Amino acid sequence: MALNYTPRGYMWIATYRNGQAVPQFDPLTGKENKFKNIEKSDVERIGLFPISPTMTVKILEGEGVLTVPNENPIHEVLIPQGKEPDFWARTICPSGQFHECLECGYKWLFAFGKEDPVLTRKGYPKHRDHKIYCVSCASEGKNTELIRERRKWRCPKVDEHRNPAPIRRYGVAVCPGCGYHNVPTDTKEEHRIVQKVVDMSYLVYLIGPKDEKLTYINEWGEVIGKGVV
Amino acid sequence: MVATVTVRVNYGAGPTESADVNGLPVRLINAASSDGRDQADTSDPVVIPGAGFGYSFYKHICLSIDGGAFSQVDNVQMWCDGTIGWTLGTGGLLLVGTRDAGDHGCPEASYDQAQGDGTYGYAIDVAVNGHPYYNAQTIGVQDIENFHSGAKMAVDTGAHTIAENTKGFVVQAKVDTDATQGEQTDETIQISYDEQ
Repeated sequence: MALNYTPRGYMWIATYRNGQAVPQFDPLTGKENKFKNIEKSDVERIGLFPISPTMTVKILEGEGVLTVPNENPIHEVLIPQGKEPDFWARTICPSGQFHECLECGYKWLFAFGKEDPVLTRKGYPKHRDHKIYCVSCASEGKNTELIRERRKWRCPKVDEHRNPAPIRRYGVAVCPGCGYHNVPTDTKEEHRIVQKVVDMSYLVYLIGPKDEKLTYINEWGEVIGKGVV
Repeated sequence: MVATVTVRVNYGAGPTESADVNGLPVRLINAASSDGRDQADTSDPVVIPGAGFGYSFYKHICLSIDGGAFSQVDNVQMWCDGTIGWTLGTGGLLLVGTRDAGDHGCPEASYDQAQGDGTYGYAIDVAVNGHPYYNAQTIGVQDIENFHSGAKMAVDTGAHTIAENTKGFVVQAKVDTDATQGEQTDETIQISYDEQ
């Protein structure tokens, strides 16, 4: 049965100016402290901390919620005097598709759309001219059908596929390796260079001073930009 | 901490609410009695008009906050990739209902069952038989391509603190006389929401 939520890997900790701190989850019970209930005017720093394996168990016991233990980096943002902290978890569904390049086997997340200041960055390539490209070997696929036609051919003289493609002389294909004529090139096949693997939802954490640009941090702990909510 | 949220299609009288369609295709067809999730069902196709424009029946798509422990869900946005690759003809578009001010999403209380004249669905923005939440607006519909990752559509900026449905966006296919007959390729609409 699907969870209908994306398990989180981060929890927030708000640190007050007097040095005390409020974690999102009580380290002993796993029970949640609501962000809306913290004394926001006293907060000096708001941070995202990776959830440890121990905390994952505590949170599951305390709140019945699945989280993902990880060793992502800590991110903290200072809150200027007179400002309040803000925190949001933004779910985007589906934000993109994992794609697999059948040329080189590389898998990556492909984000839809025109350039997005949040999602479009290294590793999340935008498409160009409605085509997508493998970020590893730059093989090209069509965005709609993800299919590219390729002619396969086999040189009967040496009985193996040859590369580069055969040259053509007087309309007849010639193996560039052995000079054999009438190389069969009619074994045209549709070849998926880049295929969709799965749609997926995606989480972005937003932290920073309220009513200012917030820092966007993705599920893997990478700062991916700043923006208003 | 974590709201359980699904994507639903509202259709028919009532309305009836579909199962979760997150990541799944939803067909725009010429009937209001189906959620459009059955991809094998090719009945009630949108008719290509002999003159003027034809329309599919419009569909309401919203987020359903089903439960979970959360303080607030808000800032529901919708966008596409900026290019709908459907062959709907010269003036054919995938339309979405829009308001002149405020959220573009339609509240659940303003749901309106799509209807048709026997051949086509009624356009969202047509004065008579259109969608009452949109048909009195100066710009009652827009090309959904106007809403992309650089210009997302504000569906619902209200704060939801209990399990309920958010406002939903209303989509409809507009078909021109030179449209190409047949099933169109899947297009993806993305939805995001913020949560505390």
